Amino acid sequence: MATKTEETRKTGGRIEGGFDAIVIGASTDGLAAAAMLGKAGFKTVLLGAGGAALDEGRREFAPGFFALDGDLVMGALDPQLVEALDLYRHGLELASRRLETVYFFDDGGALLMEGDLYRTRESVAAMSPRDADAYADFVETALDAARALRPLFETGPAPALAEALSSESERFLSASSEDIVDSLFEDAHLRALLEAEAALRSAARPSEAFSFAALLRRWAGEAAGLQAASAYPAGGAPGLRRALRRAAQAANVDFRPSVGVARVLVEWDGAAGVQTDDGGQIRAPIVVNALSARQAFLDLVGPEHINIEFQAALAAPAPRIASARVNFALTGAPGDERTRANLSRRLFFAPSREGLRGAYAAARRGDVASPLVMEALIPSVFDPALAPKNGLVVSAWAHPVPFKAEKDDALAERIGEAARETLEKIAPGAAARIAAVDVRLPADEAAASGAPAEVFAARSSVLDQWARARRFAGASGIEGYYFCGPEAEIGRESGGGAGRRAAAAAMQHAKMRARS
Amino acid sequence: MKTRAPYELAVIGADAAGLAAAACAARAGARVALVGAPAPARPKGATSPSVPDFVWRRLDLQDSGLQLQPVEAYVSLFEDGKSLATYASSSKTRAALEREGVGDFRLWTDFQLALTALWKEGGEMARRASINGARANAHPLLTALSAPSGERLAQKLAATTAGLLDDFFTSEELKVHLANIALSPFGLGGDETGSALAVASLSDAAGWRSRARRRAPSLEIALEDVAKAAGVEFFSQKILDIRADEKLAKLSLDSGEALKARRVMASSEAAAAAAGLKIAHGLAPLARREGAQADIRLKFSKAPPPPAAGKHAVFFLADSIASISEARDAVLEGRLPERPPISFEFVKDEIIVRAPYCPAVLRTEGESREWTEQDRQALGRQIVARLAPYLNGAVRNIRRIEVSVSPAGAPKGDAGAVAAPPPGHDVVGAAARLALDLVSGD
Repeated sequence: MATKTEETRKTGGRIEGGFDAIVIGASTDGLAAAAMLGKAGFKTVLLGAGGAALDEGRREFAPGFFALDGDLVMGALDPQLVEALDLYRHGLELASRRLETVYFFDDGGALLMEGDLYRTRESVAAMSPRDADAYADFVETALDAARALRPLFETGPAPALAEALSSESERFLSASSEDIVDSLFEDAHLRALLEAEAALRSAARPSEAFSFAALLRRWAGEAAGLQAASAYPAGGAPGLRRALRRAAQAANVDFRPSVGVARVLVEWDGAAGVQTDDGGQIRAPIVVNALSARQAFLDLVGPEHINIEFQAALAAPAPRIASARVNFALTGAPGDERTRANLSRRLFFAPSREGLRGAYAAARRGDVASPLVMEALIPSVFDPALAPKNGLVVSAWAHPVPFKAEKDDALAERIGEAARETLEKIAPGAAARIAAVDVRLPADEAAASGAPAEVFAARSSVLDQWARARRFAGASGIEGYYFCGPEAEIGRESGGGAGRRAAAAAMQHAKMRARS
Repeated sequence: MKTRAPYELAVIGADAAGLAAAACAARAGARVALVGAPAPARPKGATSPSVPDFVWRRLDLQDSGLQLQPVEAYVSLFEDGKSLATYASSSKTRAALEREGVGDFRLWTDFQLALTALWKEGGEMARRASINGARANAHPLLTALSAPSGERLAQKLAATTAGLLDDFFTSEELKVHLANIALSPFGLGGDETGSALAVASLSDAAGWRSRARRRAPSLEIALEDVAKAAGVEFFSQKILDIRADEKLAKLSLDSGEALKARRVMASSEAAAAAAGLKIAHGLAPLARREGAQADIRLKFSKAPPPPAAGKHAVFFLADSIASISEARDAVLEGRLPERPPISFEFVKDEIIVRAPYCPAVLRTEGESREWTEQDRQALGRQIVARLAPYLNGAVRNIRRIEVSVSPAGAPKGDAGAVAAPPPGHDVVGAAARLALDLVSGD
């Protein structure tokens, strides 16, 4: 979708100046950074496709059935970004502001939760009164703790955390999910629900230290003004990116998707621009990088400009765990009333503790267990054009599965099978109506976006993510160089916050320079 | 029912750590109850935990006749016939690595310094958090994360054993050896978040195991005498129930007695698990040793020949760091690992084996079940098969195999959680410190 500002011209070996800022990579965060900078009056150029293939929007995975790649359920849509760019005016639309969640369990039980977690008490009243009350109290404590920890999750400085939190909450930050759950509840459903929610898209097993914090991170997010809500932006992540793109265009950002970056120019310990892969240069005192940390610091800047300690922080261990995106094409109308009512909800399968432990152990040895943790949404209910009449598209995250950097069809097949079995637990009878299964693994995302597969693996523990994100955000030692790649975001989804923060830091820097 | 005035501290678990903790608190002037059946006597000549200097001084252990000697060497044996030893003395280890041609010896001193620094920071934080678990006041982790370079500490706390060892060494044997001696007391995997602290804890001088000298009393006997002399009151009954409010905990024992205490602590996580109690941890990446430890005694008709390193060493077997992680995964799944990491030592005509990677509850075909005699026998046979290649045919002289699996009681009471010392290799020192912190009242 080339537009007026989206030219395909190349530098052709020339040196080009006159820009205030360069953003590398058109991911959600890259677009957010470019739009923020442009809006603040910086003459900004956005280089590289960086996921433009994903922006095509829908992808036909079976005749007449379309999938939307990237996050669908969003709980951490950066509210400051939405407001600053006025994204609703640029086409952002929430097809559902707060999805209700139906949890399904191993024993066939199910539990409907309000979209507003502050109304948990009503949601769980049907269960044992003792646990229901304890659960509602816990949710309120955890939501308060999550809010207090927000500065931490946004990778900013977090002074006075100790004052902001109760003693119970500190345990939430450091303990394992299993420990927290064991100390609070006896009800098997609540235990399974919390362990699975914390585990979804996390590489940390529920028995590992700091694993529970993943849930706090999610609950610290905000969508449509409600903490810990799950929203569905129309068109999913591509829909969000389209709105960001429009906001950037409105802010006169110069888009150059076909320009590849060979190097970031570093002069006198400061960013001076980029060298393009056709030998030209584009110069600007601010460079924001939205590619992966390895690309941003090792490939484009080079180890010679980075101190040893920082290089060590870049060396993350090879991931072992991933989540699979599985799209199902379903034919025929849903059978019963209950299933029909569930179509516009977030559907979540939470295995038992033993099941979840087994699934992690299997994934770690390269196997796929069944059932898996599953978060499913039916986007074709919100956008009927995604499926033929009398058909449905179910899009799910299935977790945990083995991480493979290379494409592996046999693995995808096994995951598809396990996902199909898990879907059957959510909607009995659905498996018989599946016309096609589309499994998307990190290797597929990598091929589509050009980023290394590792950045699409499951996230490590929150503490580890925080430590890395903080260091990447501040400590490269190169003046005017800002990072908002996937490692700058803590948690399982990209809501644009990292891009907004990188742009804010760059503007602050420019202000200081202008003053001196 | 008799009722007594409340104790200032009740220590649960009559192992060496519990005895030392109770004795230290009593010597500091507190009224202390020690609850729990005495640990089964270990054969004379077997290794025990060490005693750190501050406990030694507080309890005047020199007067008890106790004479502890650090175990000479920790030796890893490998399938290809190689072996690798480390010693209580760091300089001796460095020299031995150099002699054996392990190129990594040059980094040994740096490595030790890094461990000491990490344990000072991480271990101290765990200790403060552990008191907080009992008291609920300050927030050591949050305070640290709020500090200007909190991310450096966070990265260290979240580091894995494999990652830490990779930073320093290239020798696979050395890495496997260190990972095994560091991790096995906790039953953790080498790629587990926070497990680097297990290696850091090796820098505790008292984390190295010891043996009582011949003709001197064993550690437990010496500590029991000191505790009794200091006025610790012993209750060897089981705990039926524990209830607590802000000020006072009430423990009901199966003898019908009840005792009240202002503070309650477990001597270790294992002791709490055996008593069916939950533990309060402010911060403990090493905590929660899911699973059990099996102790296997192999009795021979004539003393088996120890491998070349000699009979005074403690021996370790593990194939790789990945195999340690696999063993941990197996435990979480409720099954026995295929090639579990183990350690063993020679005591007269016996070999005593520790298998720290055992599930507390076994799972077969989706059902959980307790350990049976068959399971224990199967484990015994597996261990014998695992040892056989290193024993020069002596396995045929085995005349008895005794397997015991550390018990896990069902959680009881509504006391919330009891305090427990932060996990580390120096179990006696950690328990004693916690007891002193709890009775000192600040």
